[in-house]
Amino acid sequence: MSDLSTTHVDLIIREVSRHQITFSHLFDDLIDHICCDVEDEMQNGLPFEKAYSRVKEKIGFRGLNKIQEETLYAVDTKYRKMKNTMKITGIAGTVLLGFAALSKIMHWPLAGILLVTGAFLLVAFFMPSSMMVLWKESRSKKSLFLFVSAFLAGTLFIVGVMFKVQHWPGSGLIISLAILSGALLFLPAMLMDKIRNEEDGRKKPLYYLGFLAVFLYLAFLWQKIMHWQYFGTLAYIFSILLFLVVIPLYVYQEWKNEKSVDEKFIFIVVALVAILLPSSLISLNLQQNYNDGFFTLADKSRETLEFQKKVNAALFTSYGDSVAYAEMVKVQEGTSRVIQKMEAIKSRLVDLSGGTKGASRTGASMNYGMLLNPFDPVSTQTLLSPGSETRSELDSLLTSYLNEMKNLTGSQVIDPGSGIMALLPDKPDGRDEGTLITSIHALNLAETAVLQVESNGFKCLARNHMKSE
Amino acid sequence: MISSELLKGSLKTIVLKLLEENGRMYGYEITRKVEEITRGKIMLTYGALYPVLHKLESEGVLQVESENFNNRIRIYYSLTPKGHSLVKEKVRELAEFISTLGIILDPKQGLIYE
Repeated sequence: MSDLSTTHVDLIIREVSRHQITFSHLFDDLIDHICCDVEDEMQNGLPFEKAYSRVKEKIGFRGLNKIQEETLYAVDTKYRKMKNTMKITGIAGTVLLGFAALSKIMHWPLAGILLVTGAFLLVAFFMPSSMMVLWKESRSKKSLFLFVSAFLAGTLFIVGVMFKVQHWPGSGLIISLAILSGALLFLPAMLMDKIRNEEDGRKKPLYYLGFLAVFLYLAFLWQKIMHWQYFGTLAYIFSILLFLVVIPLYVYQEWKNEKSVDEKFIFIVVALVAILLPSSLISLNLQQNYNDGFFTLADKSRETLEFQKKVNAALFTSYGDSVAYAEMVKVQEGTSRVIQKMEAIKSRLVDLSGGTKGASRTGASMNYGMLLNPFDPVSTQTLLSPGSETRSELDSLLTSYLNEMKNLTGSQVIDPGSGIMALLPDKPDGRDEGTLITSIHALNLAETAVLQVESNGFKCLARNHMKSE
Repeated sequence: MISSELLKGSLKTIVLKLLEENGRMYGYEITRKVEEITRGKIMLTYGALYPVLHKLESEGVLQVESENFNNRIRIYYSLTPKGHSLVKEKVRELAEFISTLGIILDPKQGLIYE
């Protein structure tokens, strides 16, 4: 028998090591077996390289892990149980979540129960058992951190999504933690693992780029869920572009290295296309519809406001010969002070958020579609959130205005004070207070309410004088 | 060549019987021996052999010794005392199975018509 040289044995050992065969003495078994096979082929006169590649083809090196799995499955009862639990709960949980989504869309009952049960199966059984299975298969301390971080991020994500869909409090925090642990713990661990196990130097830059793409995608997802507006769709577009660069390059590299393409690879490519493309189209389209909804709403509230202004002006003119005219003038003056203040705040909100695309600012002619950053939250936080300076001024102005109206008319009928305040942005349970467009809408409504106070004031004054005459 | 489907249940017995006759053997030796004896009709693959060997070892039927051989480690498998008593039982069981199959496949009694 022609014996293999040390170099050849080392080469085989190095290549097999990459498949993380760690169970008992299976690694030694396989190395010896492969070496014997190669020696056997060389016996027939083949050089080492030819003999070795023929043996590799015969076994299929990708199948080495499969052998370890089967060995573990045969020997380790705990592993067998874990693996079965993993398979059953993985499928059951996913199917339940699928039905939950379907029920949610179709407004069937039980969507909530299905969702919670599915998520519970995944979090309580699938995730821990799959972690155990992976750990048993690799037994490498280096991979431990990868598994733990994957477990953490995955669990948090499933729980967070469940909370979000069920409208339970705290979902924002849980999803944030999930994305943070995914981006800062799991992704780097994954990258390190890939880089460590990859011998082909040309593939390493691709891993870094892929890492960046996923990182940006997560950042985009996070801002979307938190309704922030820090970088708009920029991160999303950038991450998609990176995917568009990384995936074809990766495919090309794989193609060069492997003689045959296995079904898993085809599956990954199809799945990526099937997920990335529709999800980006749907999310952009939904975003458009969602935005349009806000603009329509704000347009309507402004129309109502303008209408109320005309009604009040007509009412004021019609009382021109009233005995109470002098008091009515005072009502009108007080009201227009409040209206002016609110208009000024609107205009400052628009300026602070970055202004508009065209020339028009506020007022009747304003086109909300022209706002540069209609969903900017910072302007609202600065000018209209409870506690901000402008808001305090507005609140005290409103209070004194309502007192003045009460004194002038001697009536309680016109005091929807708490009503007006309630229209303005608030911070219930620490949720976000609103964006530029919702604040403008709120101010439109508040102004309309103030104008209703004015019109009530006119009517009360007229009635008072009729009674006294 | 005999299909792995048919082979599955009797693989343990084949391995045990070979080890009883040959003392200690390593994995590759077992596959070659089986191939040789059956004139290529039974070919054991890696994927079929090692799960069975490890399973038998974990049950205390086989024991292993490792030796350095030509820059690598070679694992030899041999029967334990428990293994020796198991072989007879297993072989009897398989022989009984074969004779039972023979009854079913016997043209006079069974399923095959001529």
